Amino acid sequence: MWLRAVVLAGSRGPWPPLLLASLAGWGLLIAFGHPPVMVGLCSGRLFDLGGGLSGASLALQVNGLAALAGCWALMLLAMTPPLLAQPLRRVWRGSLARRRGSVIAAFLLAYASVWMAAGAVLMAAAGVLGAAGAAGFAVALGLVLAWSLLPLRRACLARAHSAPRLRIFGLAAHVDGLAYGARSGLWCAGACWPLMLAPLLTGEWRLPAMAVAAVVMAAQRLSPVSTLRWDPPLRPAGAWRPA
Amino acid sequence: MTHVRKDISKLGAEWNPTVLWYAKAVGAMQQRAVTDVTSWRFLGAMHGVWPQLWTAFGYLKAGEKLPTAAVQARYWKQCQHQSWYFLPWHRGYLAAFEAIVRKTIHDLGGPADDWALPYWNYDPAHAATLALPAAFAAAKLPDGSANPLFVARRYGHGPGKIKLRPVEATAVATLKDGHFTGGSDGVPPGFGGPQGAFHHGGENDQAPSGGVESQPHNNVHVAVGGQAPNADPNDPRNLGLMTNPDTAALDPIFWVHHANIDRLWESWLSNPAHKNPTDATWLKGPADRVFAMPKPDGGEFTFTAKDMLDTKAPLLDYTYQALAAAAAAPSRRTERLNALSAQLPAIAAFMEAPVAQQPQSEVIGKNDGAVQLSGDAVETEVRLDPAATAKVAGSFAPSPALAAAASEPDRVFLKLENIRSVSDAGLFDVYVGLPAGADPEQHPELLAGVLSLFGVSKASRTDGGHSGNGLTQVLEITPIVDALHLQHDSPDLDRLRVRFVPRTAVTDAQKVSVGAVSVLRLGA
Repeated sequence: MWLRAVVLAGSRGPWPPLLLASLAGWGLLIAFGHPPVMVGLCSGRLFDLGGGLSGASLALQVNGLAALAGCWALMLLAMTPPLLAQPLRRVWRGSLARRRGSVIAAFLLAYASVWMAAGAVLMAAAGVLGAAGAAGFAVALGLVLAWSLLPLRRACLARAHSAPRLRIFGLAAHVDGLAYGARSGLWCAGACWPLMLAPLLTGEWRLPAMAVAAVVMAAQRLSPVSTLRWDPPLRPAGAWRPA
Repeated sequence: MTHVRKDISKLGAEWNPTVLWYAKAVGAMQQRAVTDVTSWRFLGAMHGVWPQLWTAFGYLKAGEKLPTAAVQARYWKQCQHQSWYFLPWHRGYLAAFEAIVRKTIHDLGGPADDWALPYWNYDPAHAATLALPAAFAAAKLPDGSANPLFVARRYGHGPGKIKLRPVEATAVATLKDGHFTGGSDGVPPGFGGPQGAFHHGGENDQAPSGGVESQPHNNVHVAVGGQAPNADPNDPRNLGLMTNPDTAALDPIFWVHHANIDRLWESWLSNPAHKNPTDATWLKGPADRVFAMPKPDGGEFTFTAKDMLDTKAPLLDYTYQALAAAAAAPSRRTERLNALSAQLPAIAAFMEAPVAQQPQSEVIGKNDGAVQLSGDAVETEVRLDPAATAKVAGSFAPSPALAAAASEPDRVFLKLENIRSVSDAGLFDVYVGLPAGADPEQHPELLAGVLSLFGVSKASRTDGGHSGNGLTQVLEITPIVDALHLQHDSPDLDRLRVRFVPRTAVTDAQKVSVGAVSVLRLGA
């Protein structure tokens, strides 16, 4: 049942292009895992080059900003498209037919920009944690677990489902597309940042770790909002207080 | 022997045996502990439960033992709304309830063998049926004891007898909808509701109610429950039980109302052109949770939609005394084409068999900002896109290619999104195209439908994992657009007025708002 439902859902709406984009991202990550300019980057050795910020700095010198940004962009291309099905469906349905393409482009531009900015912070954090070796990875894993239990993460996820009003006419349509993309990116990054950070510290295991993280992120994002709540077992109530 | 669910208005005397024994069984079930799966309260909590509110209302006592966490997780808070599982889930829910009531009547020494849940057939063609069945409004049973069917927290439209307005109760247009499953964006909403691969909200967080869930189901909930007069409607303690999904099933009228909703599903199917979904995700769904119901002996049965299709099967074991006739009439499409072709010969091109191709929806206009609704009528203007409205106008004079790709001229829908409110108590008549200053009562032909706030307060919350998107409601305005087209012959429309006329006492403190009002076309 699950499989059938997933396959059926995957054949509809925005899913075929999103899955293709994601596959392209994974393909490029695998294909360009060891290009000369990216030595130690997409293969996961970025932060083995040295210690701490100096290691990150060295990696920056060896790989260049463009290569680092390119690699992070590939990670985003591989991992984030499944997170975009719901908002892109909204933009598609909520736009005049002739503007759908350009409003979606505005959305994606803003969404990707937010994640690229988040990438700079996360890569720097990975530089610091990478210097601590296994302890650094343990800290990253701890962050994944701790964040998954915090109400703040659930709040971010719920906000990622929020559906702001989208205007449809003129420049305003694109402004709203940009704003929606930016806020979607912010809430997504807020909910998922530890899951994007941890794979940066897994060395040779980076691709499998990314795959696991991507599956977890997609499962979280695609779950109905109602399941995001953590409802403790009900107990008899005391005095009335408003919800 | 298959049990026959009967029209409560045709059962004879107010305290006929069916209703009297229903009352006695309800009374007995209300005495049972909430941990008993056959108790009134356990069954009510399966639809929804809010312990603090239940305690405030006296349905729970402080310190009372509740079912274990595992039992709560399996049975409570199951109700399916804004989903194509709305009808099958509620059918299973009613069947479980009916079997438990029947067993209770048996234990009380009553005529259990042929007892079946009656239905409240609120039918505008028979004005008397719009009133709350009398036995539910009586404070005492014939023997002078308290009437378990009577609920004080049932406020209707205000002081006096509770009576539905015809526009709230009618199901005529609903029964003519040719498709069970709604479009993925709720356009059209479909008779049974929008598809979700998983349980409600899974695929589309802003799914609207399906046709029958919206009209008359949601309307009847609020029109019966209402709110306490001159009290703060933002305080849930001042709402009628039926107004809030978390208390609705505590009111005995809930079950009689839902028997009618279930009957409307059977009525809709009486038209041979109307079919249930054949999609395995519906038949065997939902994929992410089990629909579990208690049995009279304390056991349970589980089901999916495929188990709910034959009401005569042993698990359900009932038929209806009579089905609603509206579904058997010519389909909505046929009626529409016949009406249009009288004045527009080009429409004949659509008269062949319907085209199998799935029409696509497209937004063609939107208003400028959120609308705050209040106790007075409020109007907003939807600005229409000229290129898109030209497409709609063109669909009335189809080219051969269009006639081959579409089954009828474009259908047009009004979509109300991000409907938010602190209170669930609210009903608004929604008019489209009313001239400025016109009295809506004089223009029933411009009524798009009724906006009901049933379930809105929870959908508006932003705390604890709620996204706070509010409700979405989709109203078909094709007949209004057709009339405009016939009156003006391709009117050069660039604005469409939408007026919200409150039919309940609405205060500004309720903060009822509609985030966006848009118009969509559905066509080739």
